Amino acid sequence: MFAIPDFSVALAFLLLIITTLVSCIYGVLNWNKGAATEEEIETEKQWMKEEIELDESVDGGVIS
Amino acid sequence: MNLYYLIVVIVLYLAVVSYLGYRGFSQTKNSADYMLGGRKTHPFVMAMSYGATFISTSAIVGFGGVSSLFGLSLLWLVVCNIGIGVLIAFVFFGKRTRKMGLNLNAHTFPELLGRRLNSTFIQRFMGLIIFIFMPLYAAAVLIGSSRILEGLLGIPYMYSLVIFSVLVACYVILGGIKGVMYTDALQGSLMFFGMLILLIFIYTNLGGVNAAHKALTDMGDLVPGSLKAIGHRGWTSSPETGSSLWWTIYSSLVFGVGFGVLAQPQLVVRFMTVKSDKELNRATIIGAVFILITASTAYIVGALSNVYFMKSTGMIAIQAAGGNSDTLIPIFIREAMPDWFGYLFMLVILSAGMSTLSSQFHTIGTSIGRDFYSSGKVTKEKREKEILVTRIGIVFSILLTVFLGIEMGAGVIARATAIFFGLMASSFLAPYIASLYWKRLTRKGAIAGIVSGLFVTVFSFLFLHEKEAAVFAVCQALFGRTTLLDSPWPSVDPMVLALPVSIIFTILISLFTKVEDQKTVEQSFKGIA
Repeated sequence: MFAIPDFSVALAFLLLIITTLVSCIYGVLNWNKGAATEEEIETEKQWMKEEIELDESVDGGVIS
Repeated sequence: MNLYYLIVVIVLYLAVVSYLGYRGFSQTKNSADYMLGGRKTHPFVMAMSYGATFISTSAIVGFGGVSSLFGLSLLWLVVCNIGIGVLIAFVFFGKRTRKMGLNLNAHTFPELLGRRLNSTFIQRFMGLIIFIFMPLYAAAVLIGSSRILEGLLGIPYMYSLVIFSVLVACYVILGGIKGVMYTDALQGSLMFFGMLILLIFIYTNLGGVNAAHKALTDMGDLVPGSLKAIGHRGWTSSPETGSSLWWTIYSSLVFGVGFGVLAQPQLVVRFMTVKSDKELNRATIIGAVFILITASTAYIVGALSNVYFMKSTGMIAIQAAGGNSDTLIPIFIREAMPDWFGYLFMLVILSAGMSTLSSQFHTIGTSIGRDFYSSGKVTKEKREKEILVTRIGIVFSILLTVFLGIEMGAGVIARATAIFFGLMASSFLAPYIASLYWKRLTRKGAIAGIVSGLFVTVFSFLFLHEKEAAVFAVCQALFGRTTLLDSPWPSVDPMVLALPVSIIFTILISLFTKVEDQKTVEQSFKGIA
């Protein structure tokens, strides 16, 4: 296989391609799955609000 | 190479990088932006940033050089890089990390575990370990990048170190993780196309895939005696099972780096920069293809350079490289590739180095600013100094990295990388997995896992693993011998011992202690099936 006589090394070559293909197939099959839920969006907004309030309470802001 | 063209190419590249760094800076308004990119990173940017951070000059220059010595069995590392470093990491670790990070408003890897277990000690201790040891890995990346500049441009090594560090420091300190990830995306794209061209070139030049592999197999008799003595059986063969080389390749490089990737702080934090699991699903494709092309090309070219150099100079690769495996890839590019590719490859290496270094410096900075200084409840007083301490931490780490880059000897890139990956996995992996999947994990169990993993690793470096024990010479001073145990232990990577110990301590101590804060556990697992 691939002109590599050693089974272990040839297997590594083959698995390189297989693992990449499996990753791609997984990504394609789940392309539109797992969008953020309402709850996640609300949690995110809440954290961001707290972060901004804390940052703004510091004179001159935090990032400068 | 034409100096005029070279300067034009570099200036153009730096102009684009500066623009992206500035974009990151201008869009960074608060700490969440600085550390997590506002949790709204595009999947392409996230995947390229993850890949470009993962695959550094260590992988291309260091492991590419090592591959010229040890051969294609190193491809098992790429199998792990894709199978574990992308597929398992994104699907089984990334999604829970993102969700739990959001539930707990964690900004860094140590903060995730610290908040999951309601422990400022864990956050601080992890931050300190990262701050102390990550410069070793950063130095490996810096050495790789500087060797390329030295090899291709003739810039003295010392100047290369300093120039490279200052360039990266500018956009990391100002732009935070947005600056880092935007530039990573550009740099990752350059790496991908550059390595793809290199892969096509080497196989075309050597008559195709099968012809190239056959030629390398036929060189089996030319393996140096010193390598044969430790188990080398040819560049297309796996080393003799149980030999010193077999343990080095499979325990240090494949197991240590292949599994170690799961607990890398600079990579884990990227899971928390995206909005939802959808982005992670999409990023899996980009990440896998990116790693396939970049990492496997480095190892294949490293091994096949033996065929090229034998044809062109009558020497095997390591002889052509003057005995230093770290300089092999730069020499190969200079000797074998057309001039125009030299320019492109220089950008590839600049990109690989800058993308990893920037993430390392950012992680080192946040480990001291956010995790050590500002751990626990973030108050107004802490917040006032947090970013300043982070930036000071970055500057300090850069100075330490440059110092290590000057002091560390030849041929150390792959080893230093393996040490850091192994150390992080030995200390953090067991508590990290348990944090994500096991509600019964206790604070004391996690601390026991981290401390035991760290202790066994450091003990192994001092008394068991020959390469480090010989350098530290503590065992020699105390017991009159380099290592305490005989073969195969001097070749077995510390992680092979340390990780199981860490797992056992994490589980046992958790089972014998009570969960300290059930409310935090429920908060952590909210929305996680």
